[in-house]
Amino acid sequence: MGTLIWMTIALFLTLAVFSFLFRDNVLYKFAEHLFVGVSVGYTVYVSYTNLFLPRVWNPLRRAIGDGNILLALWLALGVLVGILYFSRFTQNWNWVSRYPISITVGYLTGYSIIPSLKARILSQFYGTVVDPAGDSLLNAEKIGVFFKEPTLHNFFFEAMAGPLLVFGVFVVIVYFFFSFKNTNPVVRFSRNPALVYLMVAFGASFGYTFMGRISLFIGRMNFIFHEWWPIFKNMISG
Amino acid sequence: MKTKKIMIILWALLFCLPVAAEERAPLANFELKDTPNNAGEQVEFLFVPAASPEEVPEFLLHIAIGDEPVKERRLVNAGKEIFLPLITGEAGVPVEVRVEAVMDDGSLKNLGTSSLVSRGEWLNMNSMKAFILGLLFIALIIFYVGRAKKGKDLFIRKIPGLEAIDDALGRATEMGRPVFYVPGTSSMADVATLASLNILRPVARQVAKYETPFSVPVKDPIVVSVAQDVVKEAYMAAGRPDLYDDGIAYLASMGQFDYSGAVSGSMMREKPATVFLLGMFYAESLILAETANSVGAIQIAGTDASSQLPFFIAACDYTLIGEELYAASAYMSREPLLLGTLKAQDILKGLLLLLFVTAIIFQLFGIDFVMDTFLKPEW
Amino acid sequence: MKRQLPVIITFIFAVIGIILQLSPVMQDKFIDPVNSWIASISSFAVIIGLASLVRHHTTKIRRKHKDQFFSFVTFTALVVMATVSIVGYYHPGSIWKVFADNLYRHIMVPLNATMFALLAFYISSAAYRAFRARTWLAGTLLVSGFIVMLGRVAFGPLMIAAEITNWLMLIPNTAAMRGIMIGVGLGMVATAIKIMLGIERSYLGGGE
Repeated sequence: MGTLIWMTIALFLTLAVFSFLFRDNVLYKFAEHLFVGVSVGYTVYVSYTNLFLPRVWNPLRRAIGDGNILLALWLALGVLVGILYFSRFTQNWNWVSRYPISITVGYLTGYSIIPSLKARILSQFYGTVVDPAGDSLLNAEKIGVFFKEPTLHNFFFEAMAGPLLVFGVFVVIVYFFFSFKNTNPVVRFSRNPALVYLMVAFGASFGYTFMGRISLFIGRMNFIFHEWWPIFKNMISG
Repeated sequence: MKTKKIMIILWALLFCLPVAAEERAPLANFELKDTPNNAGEQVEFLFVPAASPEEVPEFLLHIAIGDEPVKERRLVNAGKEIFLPLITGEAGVPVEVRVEAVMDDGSLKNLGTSSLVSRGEWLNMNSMKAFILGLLFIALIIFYVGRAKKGKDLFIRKIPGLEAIDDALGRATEMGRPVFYVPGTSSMADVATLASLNILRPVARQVAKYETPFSVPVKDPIVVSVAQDVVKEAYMAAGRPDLYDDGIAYLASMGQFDYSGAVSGSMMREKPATVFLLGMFYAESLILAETANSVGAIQIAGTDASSQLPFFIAACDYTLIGEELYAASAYMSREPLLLGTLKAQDILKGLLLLLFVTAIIFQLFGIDFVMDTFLKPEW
Repeated sequence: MKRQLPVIITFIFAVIGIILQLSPVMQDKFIDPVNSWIASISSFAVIIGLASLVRHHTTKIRRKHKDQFFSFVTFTALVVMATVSIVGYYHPGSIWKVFADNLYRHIMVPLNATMFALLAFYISSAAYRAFRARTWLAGTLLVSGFIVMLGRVAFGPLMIAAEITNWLMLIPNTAAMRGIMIGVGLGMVATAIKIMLGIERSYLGGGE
């Protein structure tokens, strides 16, 4: 019986959210506000048990227990810095909260610089010079494959694949130059091909995700008809 | 990889010299090595069988790491070199590997031991290339910022999404409907969030000037306090501190879909005329964009999340694509400092493109030098 | 104190971040202590966020907004969920834990899944609008989107669409996304450097 009650609540909430598609209504408002409450409550719980306890409180207690005064002081200082945040509740001292913010922002941005340079810039360029197997993307052998057996497949997948990839990356990068005037021949020449690459890519990504999103709806219908309904039917039939 | 192979061969040759004098080749060559560029948490064991699988079908390793009990491990002789990472956990842990050959008659033959103490490195040489690139970037930025400060005029091309901001805000004012600004759904850890907060400032200033109702629903608790500060300063700068309220930027919720549900609900009820969706977005991007469209709002979107760009492009009136989001703060403020950075960014991009083209041309002739030296990221 | 010191702190911690990335030994020794600060700041920030949320809803209640009832729903749900979960955490075998699990499994999970599932409708309506191509560029988007949609479910004679889909994802899509990613990478690093050097300080509320 308990399961059925809980699952009926879930069913009600599912239908309430879907009702938003027709228009905003009382059921949706209820589901929305309930969702916000539950989710924020859950975040409070997770921050306490997965963030504060294991990363702040327990290490602090352990450091004090082990007599590691330096570490304990450092961790306690961290808690103090966190508490500085509460200055936001005051009128005249709320600028103090900039300290914890600048620590977070400073550390996170500094920490991200080298990985960004590696993963988003160097790796991407490198991967456009050679493929994962280490062969040049402008490989004459692959063009040869097409001349040996001139099919459409070989043209697009072998001969032209590498050159078109390299060309695409080049023109898209040039498209995002901001400080060169449109009269610059390279910038002017790249513009239209870049836009074609971008639009084809966006269209393709969109189409690629389409079915996945549709299946989410099917998933909810499955819940109603294959999970809730059998239990409900069992219950009423005795 | 190549140097590693050469090292193995050289090492093998060295190893062979005295043994060759004893007129018998070794059954296997092996060496325990410190893994470079780590904190000493792992060492590696390199094993090259020299005997044929018929002669020695298996090798037996006795691995001793620190105080842990000695572990045995059998290696089937497939005639191939074997690379075995051994986890030490930290620097300063002694590791010893004793190797025995299991002969075809089942008898064991001791081949000797290799040992070392795990060592941590102070500098990760694999990150040096990226580090130098970063330093070059900083130098370029300082140089161009200096130039910009001297008053050199820096050109910046039109970005349609940003050109539209003024009109979009004006429209909201005319219609007497609010403006919504969603600064992404991520935390301060995403640079896109910071970029979005940079755009929030001029937008908020304009909104204050026009006296248009303004709402900034936020998902992250740190972002909410920064957004409040940004909006407050902007209202003061516009000379309208009287219009400011701490509730303009507020925490709508803390999870992905509860947040989008709450913001969609607010949009439906308050019917904003203009909606900004700028920053880092995940799957909820389309929920926000489509709801905004359904209430007839002009949507100006922008993100660096390539997976969400297609949805913004399809659903929104204007979209800042990737880098345009970062360029926006310079574009809108026209501050020489920021324009200088943008110029430096373009120059570095140009240099990298040049390097890229050179690497490709050299590669065509079978020369890997440019590619390996400048572009190959070592992990 | 109000402006300069935060900028200096930002710089110092940015340098710490870079050093931790560069030095394996330093990272091994210091990353946990440094992260404990970030964790501490984040945990206290949750309380600030909570205050903002509470303020938003109490304002509604105080002004007797027509939806004030729903703000009570949010409050009740928040308090119940947080209390029950935390009490359940300390008493793993208790009725509290069971209740917390049920709240999670039968309220949070289905709400999450259904809100996500709304995308099925939104992606269709977005497709419908985007596919009324007005310019040749939108036309390109339409054609490539249509082919890929077809290619993902293709069978029999339509398999050619699957082949074209493969190619579109492999070549133009990879090229464009890579180009974007490189630009974004540069923009990210530039922003990070601007913040580190104190050129960009909007995150401190802006202004001078």
